[in-house]
Amino acid sequence: MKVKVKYFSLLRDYTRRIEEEVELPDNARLEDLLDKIAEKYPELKTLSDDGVPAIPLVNGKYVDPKYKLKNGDEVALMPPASGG
Amino acid sequence: MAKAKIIENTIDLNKELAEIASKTTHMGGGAIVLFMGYVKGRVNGNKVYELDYEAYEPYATKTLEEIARKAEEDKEVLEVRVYHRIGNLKPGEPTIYIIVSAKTRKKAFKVAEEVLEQVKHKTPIFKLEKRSNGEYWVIGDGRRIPRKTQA
Repeated sequence: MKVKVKYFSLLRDYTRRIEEEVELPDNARLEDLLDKIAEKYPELKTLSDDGVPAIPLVNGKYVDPKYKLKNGDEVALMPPASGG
Repeated sequence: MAKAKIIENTIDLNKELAEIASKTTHMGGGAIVLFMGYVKGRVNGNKVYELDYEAYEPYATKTLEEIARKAEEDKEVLEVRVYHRIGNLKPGEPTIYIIVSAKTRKKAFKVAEEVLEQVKHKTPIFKLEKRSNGEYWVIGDGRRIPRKTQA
């Protein structure tokens, strides 16, 4: 299956892209996608080590890392929001 | 009913306030608190050229609507409006408007502050600060991290 991944704010400095499609095995969970992204962009770890988490939303909602992804899901990765 | 949305341009505050006052006066309303955030022209001694705001839509709007709707569940709160701007905003330009009408000023002040804090922390909105000593991502409650590369 394929999911769309969107990156926001400074995460784009590390991924050098705004969004991409990621192919995953059927029944993959959110944590599997996050592992795959961490492997593809190892520099992201320096961010989390520095206290900036990459917070995932699936179709706009906070979900458990065990959440089973579906074909066509949109996953956003973002740092803490900075509105205002 | 609550109004909340992401906007690109400024709003007509006189019109908003007049609408709310007219609507809520017959409901026992007697106070409107307006909070307007605007772009700082100096940060840490450096000149700011602009703030670039981006929202993750449609979820940013949904979050604003939910925050405003929940705030209106309080029976003393009569109307809540939340508008957050996106795009390239220059120093002095408005970035966010929170307008709360309530039966008492105390309630209006309190709810306006609560709504503001929720909007800042829960809504997927992000900003890049462009200033005289470089570009900085603003993270959470004001932490600034230098931009590394162009995405």
